[in-house]
Amino acid sequence: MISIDKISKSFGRFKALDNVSFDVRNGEVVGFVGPNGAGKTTTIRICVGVLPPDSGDVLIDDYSVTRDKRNASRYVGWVPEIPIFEPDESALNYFVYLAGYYGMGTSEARSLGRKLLEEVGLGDSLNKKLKNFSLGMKKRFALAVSMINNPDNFIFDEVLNGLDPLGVAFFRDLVKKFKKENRAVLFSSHILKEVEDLADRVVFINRGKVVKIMTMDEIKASAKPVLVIKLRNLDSRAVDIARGYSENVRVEKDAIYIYNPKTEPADIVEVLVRSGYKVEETKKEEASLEEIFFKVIGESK
Amino acid sequence: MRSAIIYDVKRSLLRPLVLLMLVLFAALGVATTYYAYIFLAGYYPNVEGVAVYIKTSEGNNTRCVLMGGIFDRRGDPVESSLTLITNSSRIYSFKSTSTFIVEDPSICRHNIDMIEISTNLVKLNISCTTISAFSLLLIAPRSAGIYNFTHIASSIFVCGKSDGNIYIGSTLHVFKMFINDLKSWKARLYTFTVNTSSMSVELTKPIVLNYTFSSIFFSSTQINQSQGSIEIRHPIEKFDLSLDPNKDAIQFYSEVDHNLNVAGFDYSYKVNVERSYIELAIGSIGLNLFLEFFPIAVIYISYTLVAKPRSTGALEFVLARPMTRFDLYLSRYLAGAIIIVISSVILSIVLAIFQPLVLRIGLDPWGYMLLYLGILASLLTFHTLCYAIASTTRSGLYLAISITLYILFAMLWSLATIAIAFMLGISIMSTSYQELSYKLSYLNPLQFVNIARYYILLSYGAVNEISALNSVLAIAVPLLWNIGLFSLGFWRFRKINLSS
Ligand SMILES: Nc1ncnc2c1ncn2[C@@H]1O[C@H](COP(=O)(O)OP(=O)(O)OP(=O)(O)O)[C@@H](O)[C@H]1O
Ligand SMILES: [Mg+2]
Repeated sequence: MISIDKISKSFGRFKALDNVSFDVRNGEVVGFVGPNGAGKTTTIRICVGVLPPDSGDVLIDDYSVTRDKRNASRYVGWVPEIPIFEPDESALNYFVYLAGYYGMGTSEARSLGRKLLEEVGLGDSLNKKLKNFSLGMKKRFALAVSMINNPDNFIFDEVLNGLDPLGVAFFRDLVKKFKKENRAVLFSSHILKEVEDLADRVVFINRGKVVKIMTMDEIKASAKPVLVIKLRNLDSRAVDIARGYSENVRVEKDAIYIYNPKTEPADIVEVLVRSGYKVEETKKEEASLEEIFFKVIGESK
Repeated sequence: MRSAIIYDVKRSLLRPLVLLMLVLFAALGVATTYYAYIFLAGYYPNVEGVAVYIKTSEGNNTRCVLMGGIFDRRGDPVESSLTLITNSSRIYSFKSTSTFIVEDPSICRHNIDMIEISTNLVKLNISCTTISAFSLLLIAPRSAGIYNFTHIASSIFVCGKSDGNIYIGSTLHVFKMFINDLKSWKARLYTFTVNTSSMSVELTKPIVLNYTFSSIFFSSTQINQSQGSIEIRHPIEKFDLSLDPNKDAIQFYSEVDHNLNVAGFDYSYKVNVERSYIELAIGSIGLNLFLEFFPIAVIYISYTLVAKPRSTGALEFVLARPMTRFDLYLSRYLAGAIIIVISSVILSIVLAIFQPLVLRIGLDPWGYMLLYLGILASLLTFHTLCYAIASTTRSGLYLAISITLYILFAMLWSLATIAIAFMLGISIMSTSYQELSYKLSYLNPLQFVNIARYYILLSYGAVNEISALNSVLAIAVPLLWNIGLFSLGFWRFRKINLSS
């Protein structure tokens, strides 16, 4: 369980986070979505205790990250957006070094390191220097390290970025597995689609503020269909006709977008044809998640 | 946490630069100390031999005795092989483990010019000069009315540098004295005694000599106040004496007719020579090179442990482990400190073993301890300084600042001291200049070792007391530097952003 409680953070005069609060419960995957520079990474760095907040606190399984960091860090695993390690170290040695901070002896850490690095697909690179790792390999290494203490909470920052399809599938499966194991997973992304089939809930963040928290079901329910009708002789009368069938009508180029129409598309087309319009094309689209994303973010402006 | 620190120590210690510096300075320390010693030993030998050779010819019958000893600086006998040389040809060789008395007809044929001495460490020659040669024409009745003339010729040679001799009746005593322990003013005196009436090394009765100390060489004014005595029973005798630190010379005279014969010699010269050996021991070029250049390794250690990983952002991933910022700050600080402790221990041990072994002189354990603490205080404080800068600035800036400080502290300091003295109108030759430079030592971590050196020299009486220094400050100032810099560094590190 990760509880983020009213954290704020400024860099100089720039307020990067403003009173951010939300929870990630056990057995829940929370998508953390927002555009570039929204404050996702900043929030996450505070959650894992590497950046002190100006105010507020984060509890990891009831351990305060600001007051009891030693315990809090024990119970949360973190895969950074861009993992950076000491470059001259080899993977297994560095793993053993980091495991030392969990009170693990060298031989125990070595065997755990072999097992976990194997598990994340780095079995062939145990003695490779970390500076020679690709971005995907670094993420896998960070994942192995985050699992040293087998914590109940995981935070993945844009973890799918820069991964090949195999890597993407690997992390997706892993998140699903963690969820099954009743762990809490916070998963940040700037693409809502990326978390669609993973997240139970989505926290939207923009300009350092949480703008909306929705369950995946709510998001899907709000994804309403659009009827797009392309007319040769589009004019304002045609738009007025369309408005009779929806509260939300938009015109773009020579097409009318009718959101969530009240009747069947065929009925609307029929009325337009009878009114003397030449219908060139009609199609019905499901509203994309990105539109919801833009809508939510747009509302916050 | 502990295993992580050990790992940090290991990986930083095993950097090629650090290892190279360690090996280089240990080797340089040994080599340069050795060469400085060879240089010094050319003037003040560290192995000395002294021998007395008597030769008596009575008609065709010749008797010879050679006695003496080969000693190290402290007056302990040294194992050696000796070869007697006459007219550039070797006439006799023997080995000696302690002092020796040799009586052998084959050493009699010619006068001995020189003795070649070879020990494990050095080879040296001592030359022999006669101090007494006399001929007697003994007229002894052979039978009634017929006289037989027998010609007896005797000579006594002293080989090597003795500290003088004295005749008491029919005995000749040759002295050789060594400073055994400079700190406690212990001296070791050897006497070699010859019976001039029998021309042998047998003593008929014990001889008692009194001695007294004086400031003015060979003054006989205070001779009545004996300050001790030695009783000579054997041809070669060893005595341990306590010298008077406030006097310069020792004089020996006989119990009975003390005003007749006095032998005395100056020991302040010997003391000064010992002091130059002590200065060699604490200020050996190798040690100075280590102190001059190891700070580069110290700068590098903080660079790899904190400046670089902080700049690249690698520290953040480490900090995500179960530890506080203070733990991270402390653990890497300690890793660096341990490397410095180990390096200084290695160097000090090399010196502490090498110096007594080769120089035949070294500091007492306390002296080495103090010297080690001085080296440690200098390097650790410099480490704390570098670490504090490294953990709060970007790596490029860190290198710029620390190298500037290094150049100031290690290279320009004496110039800076002279400049300050010049501004204050203090002459460089004056004692107040010395006071000033010691006072300024408190401002330069790399000079802390000089304060330790001062206390070592002081304990050997090799420097005058300097009022600017006191032991409380000498301990408090380095401590304050370290505590202050460590805290200041952490105070900044607490809030610093560790991402790249
Ligand atoms: N160390 C810093 N100093 C100054 N400003 C910073 C610092 N770190 C982050 N910021 C600013 O804080 C804001 C939030 O950054 P953050 O990295 O949290 O965004 P993000 O949501 O993770 O974006 P992205 O999707 O691009 O990863 C940005 O405007 C960024 O410029
Ligand atoms: Mg980010």
